[in-house]
Amino acid sequence: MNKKSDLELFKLILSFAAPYKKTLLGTLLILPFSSIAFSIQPFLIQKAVDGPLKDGNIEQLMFFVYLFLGAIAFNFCVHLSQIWIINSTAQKIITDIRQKLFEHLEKLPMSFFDRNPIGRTVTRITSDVEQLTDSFAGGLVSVVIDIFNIFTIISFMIYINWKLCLVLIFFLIPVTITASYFQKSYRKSNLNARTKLSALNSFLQQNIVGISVVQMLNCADKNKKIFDKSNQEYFKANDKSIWADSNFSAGIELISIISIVSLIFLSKEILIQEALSIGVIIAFLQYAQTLFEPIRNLSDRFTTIQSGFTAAERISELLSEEVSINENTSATHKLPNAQSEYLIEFDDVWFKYNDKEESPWILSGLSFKVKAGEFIAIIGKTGAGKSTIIKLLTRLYEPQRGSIRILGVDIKELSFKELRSFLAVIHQDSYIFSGDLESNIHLNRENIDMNQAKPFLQALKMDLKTELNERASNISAGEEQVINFARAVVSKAPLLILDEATAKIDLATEAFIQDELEQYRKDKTLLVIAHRLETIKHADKVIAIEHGQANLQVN
Amino acid sequence: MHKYFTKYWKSYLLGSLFLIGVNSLAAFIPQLIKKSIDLLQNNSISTEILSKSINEILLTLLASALLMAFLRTKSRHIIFGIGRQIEFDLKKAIFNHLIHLEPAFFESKKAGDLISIITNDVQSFRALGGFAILNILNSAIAFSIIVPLMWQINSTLTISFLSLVPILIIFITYFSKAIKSHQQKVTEMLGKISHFIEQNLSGIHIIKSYGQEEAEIARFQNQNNNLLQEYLHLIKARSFISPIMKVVASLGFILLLYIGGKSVIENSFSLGDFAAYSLYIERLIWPIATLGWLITIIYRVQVSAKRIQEVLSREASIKDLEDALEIEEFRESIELKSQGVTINKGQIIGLVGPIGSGKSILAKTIMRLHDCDEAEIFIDNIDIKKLKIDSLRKIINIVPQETFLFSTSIAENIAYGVDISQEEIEKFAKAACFDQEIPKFDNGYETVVGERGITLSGGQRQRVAIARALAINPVVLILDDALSSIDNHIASKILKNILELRKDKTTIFITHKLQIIENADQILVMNNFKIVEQGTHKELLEDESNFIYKQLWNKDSSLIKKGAKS
Repeated sequence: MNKKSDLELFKLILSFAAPYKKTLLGTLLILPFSSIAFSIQPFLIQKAVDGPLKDGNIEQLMFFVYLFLGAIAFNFCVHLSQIWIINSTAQKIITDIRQKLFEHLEKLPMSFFDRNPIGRTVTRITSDVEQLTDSFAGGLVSVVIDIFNIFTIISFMIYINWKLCLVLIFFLIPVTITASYFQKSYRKSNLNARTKLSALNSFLQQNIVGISVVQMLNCADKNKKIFDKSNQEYFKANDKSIWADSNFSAGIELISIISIVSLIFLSKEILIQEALSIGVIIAFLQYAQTLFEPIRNLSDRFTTIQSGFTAAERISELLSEEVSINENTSATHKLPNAQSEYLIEFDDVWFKYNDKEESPWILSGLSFKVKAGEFIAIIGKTGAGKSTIIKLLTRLYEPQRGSIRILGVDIKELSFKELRSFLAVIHQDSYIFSGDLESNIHLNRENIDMNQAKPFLQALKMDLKTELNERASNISAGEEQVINFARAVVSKAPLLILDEATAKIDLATEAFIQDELEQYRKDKTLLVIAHRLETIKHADKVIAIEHGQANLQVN
Repeated sequence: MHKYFTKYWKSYLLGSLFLIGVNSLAAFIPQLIKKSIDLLQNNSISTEILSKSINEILLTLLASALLMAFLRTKSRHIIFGIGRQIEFDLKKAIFNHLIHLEPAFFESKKAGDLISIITNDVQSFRALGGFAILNILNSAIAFSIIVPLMWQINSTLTISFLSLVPILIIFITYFSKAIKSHQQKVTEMLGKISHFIEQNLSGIHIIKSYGQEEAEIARFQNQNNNLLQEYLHLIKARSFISPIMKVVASLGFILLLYIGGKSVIENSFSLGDFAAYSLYIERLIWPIATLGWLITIIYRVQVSAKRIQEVLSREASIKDLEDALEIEEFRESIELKSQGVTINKGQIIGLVGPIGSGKSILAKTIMRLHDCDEAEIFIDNIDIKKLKIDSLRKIINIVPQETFLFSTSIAENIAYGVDISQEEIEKFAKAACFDQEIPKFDNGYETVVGERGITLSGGQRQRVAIARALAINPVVLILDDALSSIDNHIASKILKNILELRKDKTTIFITHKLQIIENADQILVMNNFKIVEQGTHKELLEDESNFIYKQLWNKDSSLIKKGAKS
């Protein structure tokens, strides 16, 4: 994948911000006013000190006091609305991005999920997106505000006394250099600490998730030692970053005092020659403090922004993952009118999971045909490509060559909805969503006949309202698989597919499922992959997959 | 939980001494500035003397600034260091406690919650022990040094300035509370969302094959919107903090301008005082401003302390008795007294029965991963409850059906419990029929698996787990349906290898594939948590009263015949 430039990434972010353009521009417009209301305060003090305080005019002093109050009130309102608008808009944009990412994710082909561990993808939609908020609302916008503030402060200072202003600006240079130097060493040690932390956390997580294995293998004491070592490494890495951080804040404080020293020194020289007023010195003392604040934050903010770009890059990578299996959405209800002798046809199908030249073909010219109402068994060694056939038939993957037809219609011509309501697959590994049994069987589908689930409920000794934990932690592997069966049979799909679906269940349950299957044979086509022969002993035909091709055997 | 802090009282004391130094200098510096400004105002001295005395003052200023920077660095380093030390201590304590709790505890808790206790909750303790205490000490010291000086300059002004502090505290407490409760809701929602995505991705093949994408998108949108609403509440509360701080800081200056200004006009206040006072105000604003954070941290710590305490005070329900015995060697037999079963050393045992009949639980009970009052299990005539758990588990290991692989290399997963050489790793991989798979991975044995690496299939995972168990080579090994996802012909090869490697050791197979245990020394048939039939394969089939095994066997053998035909 091409690495995107920061500019391209920025444009990507802007495209998400486009719907909120007016609000954002509006905030930009009130920025100068809030800056002025903030930076005018030392100026007012200067005017008051050099005016009424010198002349002893109380009435005039009150005028400045009111003016000052006005500036405070104005600044409060503008500042408040600014923060509110920027942050709430940013949050809305982030919500949009999150939604977009999730929708895109749902459309991605299975090969994407094979390549990417779940944890990483979850991080994309959660932490990385959160990072964007921090970086752009917290980082970028703050930088813009800081820059505005620096400019207005400098303008006021030039207006009051340009010579003193030059002195201060002269001091900004070492401050910036020191700030970025210390920040760099801080960042470096901080990065190191984070690496150590993530190692520590990952070890922790594994020990919690795998606690029974840890105890079954009697590794508790050994792991305690490993944790302790990793914990110590993290502690040491932090010590360095604390040191760098302490140096940084003490250094900044030092520089701000040095700048005051030189301010007074210069005032002395100037005062002697051209009578500099005390008000000016007091105002400058304050400006010096306020001016250093945004500058010392600047490099910190750039780090935040930089990590925002890293997050943006990851997000854009996910968004540019290709939806390589495209749905023919225009076509609906093709199958009711289709006429063909064969329900399923595989015609010279070639497939491999990896497009690389050297990777071997899983299927190489596979062809077979299934008539409606038949019970077909597919057998073959592990890795022969039995499950692959099902994955191709459901269009979770797409073959490199050849075609697959249902009732004579190429499955590429069908909408996903039509294809997937035509067939019901019972996978080897099931998945239980947290919720009750009913929602787990129904899965919000249309055209569902929950009555069909009754015998399964009896076998499970559960009712529809039984709550299930995610990952089926409160039921056995066998029970999970029975639920998986129920899911498939409640749909009115004419084609029922079992993908090694009985591997994890005991023989009694399997016998029950056998009986159920016998019933469905009457009006459904069955395609069964199994390495347990019990499941397929009643099959009409057996297709043996060998060397990526099919050998037909009549049972 | 105080002990985690009081332990470091000496370091805190040292840090405080440095902070007193810092703040004394910080109070001294405006005095110097005042002096120099007053000198500048003074028209009665000659330029030369003026210049000389100001230069002297400035040199003192510089020296104090340098000293102050040094003390500042020291104080921060010491106190932040304590925070980290507390974090270290707590993490260690929690981890060492958790790792000995029984698996049932972890089933009742979400893994994410436990991890968050060790990461986030401990972090709030670190924030309290470092940042918060540093700032509390610093503020207290700054106030007690600077306020008297301010008082000396002008008492009315100082009283009015100090009256701003409680107002600010009220505001900040109010908003911090609001922020805290909204923050909690946001965190919950974030947790829910990532949980939702995680579930969705784990079941993506089911979602796709049942055409559930649109329904899932709608559900996600709903959650996403809820999150946005919570965020907007949080932002609303948070938006007030910074403007309020600024207002209070500015109000300090208004007081200075108004009250101080009047005093200047009345000649009871020099302009140097005015400047020094403005610097003091600046000094005190930071301590006041951090109050809000401090309050939030203290709130957070209260919640976190509860959660940490809950884990630490949760006693392991399976633990050693005080006078627990060490068992060094397994000599004779394991007896399940209440079941009337004896398993002798060196035997191969089959444990079968319908799903949910309690086979896995029995296995876990033998290893004391699960305790059951009625189970009277004896090893070499000693009740296992009287044995040191650690020594018991050195003797007995289980390979579970749902295998958990650690996110490290395949080699490290095989050599997980033991230190063995690469040759041995390869030997056990071969015994588990996994050696053929190795060349398929890019980095061979060094390929990382699990969450941070490649995903292995169920059969591959089971084979790694078997290799691991063979490497540990315990005296008693229980394979809990550990061959279920492996093809029959490979499974029988593995079986042969296991039996050969474990000739004089005890191996218990829990399985649904009865051919595996046909030649076992003893087969135990379980139903409803009881062993209802026992004997060899032949005995079980011959005896009329043993119908469960017969039933199971007839089903299984009929398909073998069938298989032979086709």
